[in-house]
Amino acid sequence: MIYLYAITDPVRIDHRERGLLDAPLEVIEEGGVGAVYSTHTELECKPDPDLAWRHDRVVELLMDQAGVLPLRFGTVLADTDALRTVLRDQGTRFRLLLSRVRGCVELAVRVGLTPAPSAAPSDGVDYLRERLAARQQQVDAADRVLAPLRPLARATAPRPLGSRNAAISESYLVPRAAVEPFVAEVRALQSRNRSLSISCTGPWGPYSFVGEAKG
Amino acid sequence: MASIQLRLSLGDGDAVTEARRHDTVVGQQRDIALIDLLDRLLDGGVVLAGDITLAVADIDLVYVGLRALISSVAAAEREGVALPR
Repeated sequence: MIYLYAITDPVRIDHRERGLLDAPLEVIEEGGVGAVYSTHTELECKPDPDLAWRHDRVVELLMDQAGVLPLRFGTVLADTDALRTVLRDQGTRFRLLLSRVRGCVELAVRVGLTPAPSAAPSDGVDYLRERLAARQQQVDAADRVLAPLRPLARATAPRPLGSRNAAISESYLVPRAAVEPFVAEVRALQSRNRSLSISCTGPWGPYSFVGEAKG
Repeated sequence: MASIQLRLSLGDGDAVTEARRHDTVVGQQRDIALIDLLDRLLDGGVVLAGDITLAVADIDLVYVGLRALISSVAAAEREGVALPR
């Protein structure tokens, strides 16, 4: 079986670089689009941090060379024939996505929300209504905080983590040359909003910008 | 191109410089980077439909774990836990 890391512009693989379980990286090309994989006889794709970091490390080193569409973790195909079929069948889609993300990286920004102060509710319905209103105010505040970042990105995508979470998170597709000003703006936002926890991680491969209906 | 050093600003507004790679990230910053990593790898990326089956087990458990981790990091920040520099 083969484990798939990324669809790419034509790339060269450094055969000293290793994928999951230290398997050597391999690449094939079909229709002007490359695919990077490793071959395994046995592979249990549990999403454990070491495997995840290794998958991402492969994406990162490819990103330095070329446009990259990272695969979702755990994509396994029977063999390279199956992979060539995928590249032929979906070549148009992949070339379009590559043109969207080429030259860019993904930055992840998270704004921690402070819990709403709890007033004594008169009944259950009032309590829920107050909680929803407080939650909406917090979401709107986080949106306002993040608004200055959006013009610095080619595209943005929310990363919803579920309504019970304490954070708003958003992904930004940023051209490499714009990363420094973007990060400077994140620092400026934190200085202006000292009561919020703002975190920024990256640069990531463009995981949030290679799905079906993303712009 | 070297990994860009990004500042992770947490809680008290003072910036902490961190590299993204997990072997140089410490403590709670490692937790945040791991959350962002797993969120992207498990819920993002190209999905090959059709005959391709994702060979990932226990995704629901991972999401439960992620939410718990996010809550615990946020709770620590609220309580003013001193963060490593």
